Amino acid sequence: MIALWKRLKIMLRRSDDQPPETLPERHAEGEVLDAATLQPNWRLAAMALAEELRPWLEGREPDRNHRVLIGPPGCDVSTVLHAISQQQKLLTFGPLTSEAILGKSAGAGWAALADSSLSGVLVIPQLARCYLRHANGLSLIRRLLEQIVASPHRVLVGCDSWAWAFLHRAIGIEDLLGEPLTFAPFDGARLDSWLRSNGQVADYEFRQVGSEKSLFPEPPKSDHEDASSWSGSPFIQRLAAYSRGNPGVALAFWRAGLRRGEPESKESADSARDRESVLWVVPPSQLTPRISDEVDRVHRFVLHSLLLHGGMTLSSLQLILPFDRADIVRRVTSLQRWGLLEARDEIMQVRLLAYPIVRQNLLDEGFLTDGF
Amino acid sequence: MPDTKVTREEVSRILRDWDEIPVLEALLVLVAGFLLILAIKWSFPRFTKRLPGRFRLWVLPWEPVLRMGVLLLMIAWLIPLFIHPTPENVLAISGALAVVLGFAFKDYASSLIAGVVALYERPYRNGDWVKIEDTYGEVKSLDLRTVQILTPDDTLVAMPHSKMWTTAIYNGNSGQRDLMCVADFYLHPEHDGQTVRQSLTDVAWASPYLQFQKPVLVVVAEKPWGTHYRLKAYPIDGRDQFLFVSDLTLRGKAALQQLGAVPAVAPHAAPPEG
Repeated sequence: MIALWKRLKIMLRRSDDQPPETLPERHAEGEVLDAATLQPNWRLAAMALAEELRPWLEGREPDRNHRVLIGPPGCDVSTVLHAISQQQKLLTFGPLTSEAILGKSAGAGWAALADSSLSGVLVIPQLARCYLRHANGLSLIRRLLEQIVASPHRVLVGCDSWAWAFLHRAIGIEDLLGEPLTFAPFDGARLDSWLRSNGQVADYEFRQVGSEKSLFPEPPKSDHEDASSWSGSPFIQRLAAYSRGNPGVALAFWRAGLRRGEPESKESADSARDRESVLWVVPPSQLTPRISDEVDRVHRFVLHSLLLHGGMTLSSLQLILPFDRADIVRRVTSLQRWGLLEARDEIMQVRLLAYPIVRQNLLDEGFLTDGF
Repeated sequence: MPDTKVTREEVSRILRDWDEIPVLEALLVLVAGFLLILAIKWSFPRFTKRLPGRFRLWVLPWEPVLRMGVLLLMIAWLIPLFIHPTPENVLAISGALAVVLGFAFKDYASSLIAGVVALYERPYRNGDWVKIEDTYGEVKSLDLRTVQILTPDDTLVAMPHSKMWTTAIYNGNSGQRDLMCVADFYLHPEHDGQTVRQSLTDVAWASPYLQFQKPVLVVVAEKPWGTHYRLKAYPIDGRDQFLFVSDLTLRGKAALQQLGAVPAVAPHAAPPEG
């Protein structure tokens, strides 16, 4: 009933936040955007993971042959595992094309799993790109998992959280490969610390649109009684909660929400300098695309399929969905127009800005979701 | 004629005089109640469409209950406007009504009472997929006398509630969103049953309509003419049952063709002798 009441509130109101009286129009971009934000450094995450897995990587845990790392969209698990693979010079298995998955010789390239002449750890950075939600695709992934389980090698697997949830239901992947590792969620304190870690952040004053308060107030000193409970400013806490602890999603909202003040006529040089150093941040609820009333079941099937596979091409979508190409193209076009979908190098994915609302909508409609 | 005089006096004691009856108030209550019932009937389906799918079947069944409530309120308001509501008068009116209903409108009354019982016992409710006699479809509305069932061929059937006294009511989902669907496959007996069974299970998992909270089951039965496979699974929303079964059937046909399984051939009827 509480969830129903919350949905009713959203239906009756456009936004949970009060709209600001004035909303700066100038997006922060170019050098200012790069200076004021940061890119996720997945190599640092790779180093931390490698340190965590050191006993296993060195073969000092003989009872475990497989380790799995999963992460939601926005947490680039495959980049982390690629970085470990490069650092330690491990054999890596690349993703498969749709034709390769559904073809007769599917799985032929994975013979190395059974090759006992090889040494070291084998890495599969993107298991989500090695299956398709298709009868043949499931048959292939089942065979591949049997090969991984039977392999004489230690195998490190990376998988998207949505694909993991689906494969666990369909073929019991967690029973085969064991409980996966994942990244700790970014709460307010972590997110605050991460956003501050960009050295140039100190050159700017970040304020929420409609408020004069800084988004990065001075944290209490370590010997202060409030130091241990410090969790960032209320805006940063709300951003962390809205992003469900997903740093990739939080960063997408942060970057999309940065605004600069408008130049005023007859302002002094000091005043202009002060204005240029202030960046306004729009709350994530005002950046989230709205789920249109025109969204139907086919739209949701498209979104769900893209999430289950970590992104797909149009031709792959056509292979797994029971609709005509024209129907799928029409839905994809409208989803792009509504800001829920984006295409990069022909691979369509749910936009990170739309991810929280798309996930909630799919959950409300009874679709399988991940556990993040 | 003393009896008639007593009867007229009795009637005049039961009914109010015309100048005592607030006709305008009665009309207003009647019209307002009627409009409110119409508004409830019109707005509920539209409101539930805007709700997330998982709340739809929680809210829809309350529509006939609300309409019944409004109707009872109207009756409770209107009756005292026309009669003196003393216990003796109410008993007298009830007696007269019983005679009328018992003889002239017994079937109508039977359906009315069955409708009230249906609200309580819930053999069907709005949004349920039911089969009553030969009619299968989605319950669209519970009216006073009938239940409106929309068949898959888009035909609206008004089934009297009184059917529930004597007819079995088959309810596919009983207030839930999910509803088991079955896709049948008939194969020539010479094939690998385990492989076919696994393949059909994968066919169900591959369908985007599949409800993950419910199990997927393949039931196999050997017949004289071949092997009968029944693929049982649940769609996310029962309204997609026909699309779901179609998807399972087409995916299943493709998968079985790939395996080289041969469809069973229906046995010929033996020609009559002579």
